[in-house]
Amino acid sequence: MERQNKESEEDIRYTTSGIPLKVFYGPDDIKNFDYEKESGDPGQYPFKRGIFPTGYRKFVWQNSLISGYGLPEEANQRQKYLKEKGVSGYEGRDSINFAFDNPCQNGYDCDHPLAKYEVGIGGIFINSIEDAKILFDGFELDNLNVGFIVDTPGPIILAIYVALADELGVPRKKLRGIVCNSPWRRYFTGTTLTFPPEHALRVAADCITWAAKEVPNFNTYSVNGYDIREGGATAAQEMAFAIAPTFEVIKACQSMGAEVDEVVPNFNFFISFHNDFFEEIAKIRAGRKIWANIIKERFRAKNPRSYRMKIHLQTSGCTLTAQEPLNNIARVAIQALGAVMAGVQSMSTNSYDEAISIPTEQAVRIAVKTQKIIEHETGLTNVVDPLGGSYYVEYLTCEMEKKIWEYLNKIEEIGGYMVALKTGFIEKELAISALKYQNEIEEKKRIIVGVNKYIEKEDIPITPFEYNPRVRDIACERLRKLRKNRNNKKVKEILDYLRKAASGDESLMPIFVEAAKARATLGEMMEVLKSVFGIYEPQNILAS
Amino acid sequence: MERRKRILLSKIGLDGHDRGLKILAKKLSDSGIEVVYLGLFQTVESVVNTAVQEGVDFIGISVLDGGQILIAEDLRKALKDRNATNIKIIFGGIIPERDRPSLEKLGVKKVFGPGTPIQEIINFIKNS
Repeated sequence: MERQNKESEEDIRYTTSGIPLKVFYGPDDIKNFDYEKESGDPGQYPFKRGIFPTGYRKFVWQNSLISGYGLPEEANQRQKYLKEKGVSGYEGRDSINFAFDNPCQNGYDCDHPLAKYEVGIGGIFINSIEDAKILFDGFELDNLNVGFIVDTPGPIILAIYVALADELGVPRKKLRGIVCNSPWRRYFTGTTLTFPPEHALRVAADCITWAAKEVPNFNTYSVNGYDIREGGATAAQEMAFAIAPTFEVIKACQSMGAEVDEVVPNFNFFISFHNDFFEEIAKIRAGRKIWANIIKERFRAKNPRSYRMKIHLQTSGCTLTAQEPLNNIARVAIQALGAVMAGVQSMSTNSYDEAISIPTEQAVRIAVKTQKIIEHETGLTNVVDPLGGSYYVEYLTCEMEKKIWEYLNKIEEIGGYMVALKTGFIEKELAISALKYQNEIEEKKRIIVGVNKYIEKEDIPITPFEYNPRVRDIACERLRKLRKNRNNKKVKEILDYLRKAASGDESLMPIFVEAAKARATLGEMMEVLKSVFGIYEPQNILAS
Repeated sequence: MERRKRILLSKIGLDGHDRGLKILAKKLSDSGIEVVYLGLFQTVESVVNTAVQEGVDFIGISVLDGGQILIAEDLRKALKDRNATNIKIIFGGIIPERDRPSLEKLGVKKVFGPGTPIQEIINFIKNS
């Protein structure tokens, strides 16, 4: 029988990232598919079907909602609220996933002139160990999965956290969590004023290798695709541009004397789930396989833990609409459902009001409960990789693999990630993809409900979050007191020593920890590093 | 022939979200509006200085991280100090409805929220 599986020219459909689609898929589309070689069972190399043999039966994913705003005590209150509503880590631990404000992301204290507009807005600030103390009040550090979403200053934030644990008498080996510590995207999307890439790489690798010995259960590198995606990348670009710089990171760690198997198990992926349901699932399945392959074949890792792509996933912020914000509850639920079907280890669901403001309590509550509904009411935690073997999903996974490899190979051809970054190749690719996506919306080739179709004249009113307008003043006053009351002679000695160490090749992490204990601030430490390393000028590349 | 409208596009402070602003720069430019793209990490002073030097008609500021009111206050003051209040200020980004009356009082001519068709922004600039 002749199968009717051809579409007319004008009816070709595409995935969001442009893969052409047939009307349906069948055995012929995956006829070269060798299950043992290319897939394997869940928990088996190359881990396409998931990194654990029992999926969510043993542990469900971590419900780790991103959060953070205002004064440390306000952020702490929000964390306690989230805990009460169901935010939780692995094996009964608590979970905290802190976003940082722009001043911290850029390495400035709250009293820096450039910090004027954004202290405690869009994230927490940690200027010193004293802020950290308030942030974690009421939480046991040895019973916590903590996330620090901060990049270039990440090593210093980890050092402050370790210093706090030391002061509280919590053994370093009991600290668990993740510090993003991945400077790459900070050169081209969600950009920050950061060191030139070679220096950023040294600081990041120093943190990873130091922590592998000192804080061995802490994840110290985030393979960040999420923010690249938010910057406009397609699904394949997201995965490829996240993986590509890890080659540099692994090599840098090796040059510091670490083995690949010592550091890679503490890498954690940070991935988005955008709105093309099966393409996103295919991206994740393909990504797991490619990662396992690269780490085994290219870097010769022996420990299977190194092969496993652990994923923290966030639903896609840029798919949320300011129009009819309650519709975002449906978008987030669909994305979260897909993430669970793809088998992620940790998830942050966005709140419906995030295209308008920092989320309100009511909005985060629904975001937390969305995960709980999927966990308890859908039956999805029973069977691993439920889409494995679907003609379409397996076909799309193969196509996605090809696309990701194409980008990885292209970056190699250019001369590696550093060249791709500095020549603006990656920034340009993002600008082109972002423009294409926007044009599709403008031309109504891509429908966004409530934005370019089904537009409502009257919206259902929501009340956006209100900031405490005194945050910056209070934070600056506290900082002034801290600087007055600490032993400034000691702080100066440590910062002078830091300057010397940064100019040479000594490990900086132990110095950050000592500086944190002496009540030196994040801004002071970053100022020293910036004075030694310099600052990289953003390129501001547009599509052309 | 009518002079082409000129706009300076920038972000003030440390907000690094520039996906939208880059797209806008490209689309405005394609529509025949002259764009001075100052990009990220500017101060109110650097924006106003460049705006005056380049003789722009508009300053377009993108804000996605909540600094809109403070930025508008400082911009208004700086433009007054430079006798440049003829330059019209427009804002875009994640700005709650609630803030719009305050921004208007601070001299912001128009706020374009997420999902605004870019043609609407082009029309606004060309017709005012």
